[in-house]
Order: sequence, then structure tokens, then C-alpha cells
Amino acid sequence: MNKKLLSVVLLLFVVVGVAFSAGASEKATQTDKITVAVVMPSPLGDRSFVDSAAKGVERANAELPVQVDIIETQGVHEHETAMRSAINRGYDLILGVGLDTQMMLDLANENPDQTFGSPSELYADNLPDNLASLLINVNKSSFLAGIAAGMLTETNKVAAVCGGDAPGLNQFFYGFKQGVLEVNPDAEVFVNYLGFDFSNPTLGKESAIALYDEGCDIIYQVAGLSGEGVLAAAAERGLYAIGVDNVQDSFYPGNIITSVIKRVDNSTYDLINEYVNGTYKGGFRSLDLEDGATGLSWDVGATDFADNGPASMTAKLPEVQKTIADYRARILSGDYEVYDALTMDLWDSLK
Amino acid sequence: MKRMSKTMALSALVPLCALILGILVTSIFIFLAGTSPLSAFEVLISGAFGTTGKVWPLLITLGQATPLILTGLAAMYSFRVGVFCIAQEGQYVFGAITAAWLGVALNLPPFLHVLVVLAASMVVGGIYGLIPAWLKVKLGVNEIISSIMLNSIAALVLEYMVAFPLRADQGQKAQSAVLDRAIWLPQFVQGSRWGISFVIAITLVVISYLYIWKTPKGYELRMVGQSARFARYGGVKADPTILQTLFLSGMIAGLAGSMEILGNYHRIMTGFSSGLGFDGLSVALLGQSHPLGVVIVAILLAGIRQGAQLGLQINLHVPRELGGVLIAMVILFIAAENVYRPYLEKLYDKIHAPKKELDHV
Repeated sequence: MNKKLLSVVLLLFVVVGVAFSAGASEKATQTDKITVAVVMPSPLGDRSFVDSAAKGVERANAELPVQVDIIETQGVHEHETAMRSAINRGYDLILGVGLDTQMMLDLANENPDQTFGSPSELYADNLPDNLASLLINVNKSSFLAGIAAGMLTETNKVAAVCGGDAPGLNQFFYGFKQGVLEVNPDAEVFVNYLGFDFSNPTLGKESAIALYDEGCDIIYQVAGLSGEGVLAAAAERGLYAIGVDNVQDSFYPGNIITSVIKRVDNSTYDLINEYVNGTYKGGFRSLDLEDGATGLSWDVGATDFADNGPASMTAKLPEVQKTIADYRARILSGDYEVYDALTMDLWDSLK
Repeated sequence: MKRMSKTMALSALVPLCALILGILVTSIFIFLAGTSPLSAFEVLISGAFGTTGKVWPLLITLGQATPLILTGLAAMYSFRVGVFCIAQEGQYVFGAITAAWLGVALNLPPFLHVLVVLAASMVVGGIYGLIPAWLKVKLGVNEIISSIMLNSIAALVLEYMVAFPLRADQGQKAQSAVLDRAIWLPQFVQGSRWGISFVIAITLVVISYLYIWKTPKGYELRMVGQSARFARYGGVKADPTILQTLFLSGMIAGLAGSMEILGNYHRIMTGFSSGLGFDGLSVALLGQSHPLGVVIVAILLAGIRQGAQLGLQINLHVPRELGGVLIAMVILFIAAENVYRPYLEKLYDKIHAPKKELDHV
């Protein structure tokens, strides 16, 4: 018995010894390139927000003379430590994707020599010179998705599953709600907030099932990885969902009507690109429908629903798309205003 | 000079052994991930306990260890009295909610304000600790089940509180208003989170040691923990001792939550807790339910977390999950101590047997 244990331990040592000697030759490569850290709000693999930002990082690494590192975190409690570790490491530029505004402001003020950026969801009137924020407004694109939901619903009940109750996320929800009510004033619009749990598909699925049980037939998900549960619930129930951030139409073809895309990949890439080209400027800028930073998956040629959806609904699609095109033109010309949860007090019509 | 007893030596050896085994096994995974384990552990050590850079990683580790020391201490009290109460997470959260609420609601001179907030959080945490204790003592409810439920309740109450009553209007996310700067607990080095709360935690560790091993109350506590029936036979009332100890345990966990709010976050939001209460359980288990062990393990765990989950992925692009694997492996080997404990005992006897004879000469 004793010998057996001894041999196991010895074997372990040999394996580890080999591992050490084999790996000893390779060293962490040091580069003269510009270094950038991108701190993610939750782990990769959500096929949504975080993965979209990671796509921008990938593109920057491939096309620009930079070394961009992704730093994954597990949640709110790790954000500040991760940012501080990145500051300690001495990156040229540190991007925080969808992190807390106050924290980013504090860090920027505390470290005036460090350049920071936020490719998404940082909204503040005054930003210090070393902090740049690109904000993608999603209220208008969500409004267009709301039109689709309002016209296609058969139960006159639709819903949204939102990652949390915050202006950045309510921008999605109230845009959507306004869209639904615009074309279908009798419809009821429900919302379910997930308490900022963006990496829990089970929770997303449970919330969606509760809403489907309530009689809803279309659910708009705005919840990162948790939202995958919403899409799965739609497929399971044979009902419908609307995707977010990325083109998610193909995850469950025929159950996902469209997706509201938010090009965080582009805004991430743009910030890095500006830094490399020396055009980086602190301050707040917002991107919108007209910049191509957001829109519907239909704009980029997704036809999964048109090809696989039920005939009763696909028959309505041309009409839906025409209505959406009309509203889009009116919004872009300034003829029609969409509520923006980031900058406005809640309209009475949306309460 | 008192000689180190066999049990004490073994309680030091077991975690050490678990740590080494954990590192060895994780090395294999790190190697498979295509990184040299040697440079990985270099990074791990410097990322956790290094003394370079703008804010020393060592200080950040100490700052992060502070709440762990306290929740570990809280769990230790519970284990010592023989109750496997795991409601530290809930007590921690309630302490934090109390601090975030009273920190805004009261208007007192700063020094007094801080004291009142800390005291109130301790009382709230203590009361939350009394619930599973009372249920166990009076109704025989299993404390594990009741404390798990209480943790879920605390998490949901937190979500409700930050979404509605405590919610700040201007804030982007659901979070409470930022506390007045005057009542922030000072940090020794800006940005390290290492501050006065660390000193308080260490003081409590010393007091706990003295309390448990040098006072009659502490003696009763240990006796109840080891055998409640025997304690009763010896004239010690087990039930009041359990209630008192769990109140104490809850107070410490509540204090941890409150100091995190006053010292680090300065406001409360959902998801701020990160399961620190649960980590306190591992800390107490790994630390062999001894105050000194709790301090060492808390610092070690905070260091591994800091170095493995952030340092490794920043410096070597090792997936952050591998850091989690290391922590899990260490805990696994502690849990499996019975497999190798006999060998350690034999080893100890072998080394000490001849020496003992010398002593007698």
C-alpha cells in the first residue's frame, strides 16, 4: 500500500518535471508594439456582447501593429481589481467594456497618465481627457424590432428579458416597448429583469418560460449569455424570440425573428485604431443607426426566419419590413423621436 | 519550551501537503495548455505577493484577504461549537446592506457615524446568525439546510434593496448612493484596498484565539463543539452556548460586509458579494478551524485568486479558469485528507521517535 502511494507520487513528480523542463525554454514574448488591455465584464463565450467585443480585439490584433490582451472577469466584484492589475502592468491603453461608469471615472482621475477607453455603455456628461467613451445608442434599433414584434404578435402580449434595471439596458427595453405600442396600441409589454446576472442561461430560460406561460409569444432578450436561455425557451415552446448584440437568428432558425445588432466589435476596434493612429481623443461620442453601429439582422441579410418561420408569420414579413423602412426613414430625418432611457426621463406613454 | 504536539504539526502539514499536491496537479493542466508551469508559478507568486508596480500586488492581496479572514473566522466559530452553519454569506450581505443604508440615512459626526454603522451591522449579522441557531436548538432543524435558505433570502433582499429602496437616482446601474467621503474607512495605500479593516480583522483574530483557548466561556464552547452531551454532563448548558457563539459568528460576518462597504465599495450593488461568505467556509476548513490557520489560508487564497485568475491571464494568456482549477484542487486535496493523513502521521512518528528518546535521557 505504502509502495503504491510512493510510486504514484514519484510518477507525479516525473510528469511535472518533464512538463517544467519542456516548457522552460519558452518565455513570455516581449514586444515593442503598442499594448492594449481589454477588460471584459464577464467571461467569453456568450455569443453576444462579450464575444462581439472580442471579435473587435481579434481584428485589431490581425490588422494593427498592436498587442491586445483580453482580460476576462467573473462579475462586478472583480472589475476593479482587473482594471487595477492592468494599470499596474503598464498597458498603453486600457479599455473597459461595459463596466461601471463611476469606477471608470475614479480610475481615470486617479491615474491621469494612463489612457482609458470604453467601447460601450459608459454615459457621462463630462469625461476627463484620458477617458474616451464610444456609446452605441440602441433605442432606435430596438424600436424597429418592437415594430416587428408588435405587428407579428398573435396574443397581443410581448415581453423583454433584460439583464438588469439600468438606463443602459432600459434603452433597449423602452425603445422596444415604444415600437410595439406604436404599431399595436392594444398590446401589453412585459419586462423581466435578471438582477445583472449576465452569465446564467438557466435563469434566462426560467424567466422566459414564465413569460410564455403568461401568454406572451415574442420575447426580446437583452441579457448576454443569460439570454441564450431565452432563445432556447422559444425553441422549446415553439414560440418566438428576438436576439441581441450579434446576429443570433441562426441559433434556432424559425424561432428567432430577428436580432438587434450592436457593433461593439467595431467600436472596440475603432478606439484601438484611433489610439494607434494618434487620433485618440478623450470625451464622449455616441454612435447610432445612421453610423451603421446598430440595426437589425435583416439589414445584413439574415433570412433564417423568412426561410424557416411559420407561413402565417412569414407572409406578413414584407409588410413588416416596409413599415420598419418607413419608420427608419422618419427617425433618420428627425421626423420621429424615439425615447432614450440614458438621457430622458421616462415618458408617460411608456409607463 | 512546549513541544509542538502531533495534532498541531499535522494540522499544519495537511494544508501544506494539499497545496503542494494541488500545485503539482495544476502544473499538468497548465503544461497541457501550452505554458511552462515554471513561468506560470513565477507569475502567480509575483502577481499575488510581488512588491513592484504602482500598487504592490502583495497589498492588494492583503486587502482582498481582509473580508476572507473575517468570514473565515465567523465560520470557524460555528465549526468550533459543532454547528455546520453556512449562513456567513447571508450575514455578510446583511451587514453590507445595513452599512449602505445607515451610511446614507444617518447624519452624525463622522467618527461616531462609522462606529454606529459598524455596530449596527454587527448586530444585524448576529441576529441573522441566531436564526439557524435558534431553529436548530429549539426545533431541531438542520442548520445546513436553513442556512442555505437564509443565504438565498439575503441575496434576494439585496437585489430588492438596491433596485428599489436604496437605489440612487443618478446612478447608471441599480446601486445605492455613494457614501459621504468622511465615513470611508481609510486605506493605507490608495487603490490597494488594504486599510484599517485589515488591522481590525487581525485584532479580532488575536481576540478570538484568547477567547477560545484562554477563557472559561471558550472552554465551554470547545467542549460543546466536541461533545454536546458530555458538556451537559459536565454542567455546561449546550443550547445557550450554541446561540451565543453563532451570534458572535454572525456579528463577525456582518462586520466583514460592513467594512467592505465603508472601506472599498462605498455603495452597494447586486453581485458585489462574489460568494465571500462561502469562501469563508473553505478558509475555516483549510485553516483547520484555528484563528492563525484562518489568517494564513485567507491570505493564501486571496493571493492565488489574484495571481492565478488575473495575473496568469494578463501575463501569460493562460485561461482564467485554470486559476480556479488550482483553488479547486487544493480544496479537493484538503477534503481528501484521510487518504494521505495516515502516511503523514507515520512520517511524523518516524522523524520524532528517536528524538523523543533523546529527550528522556
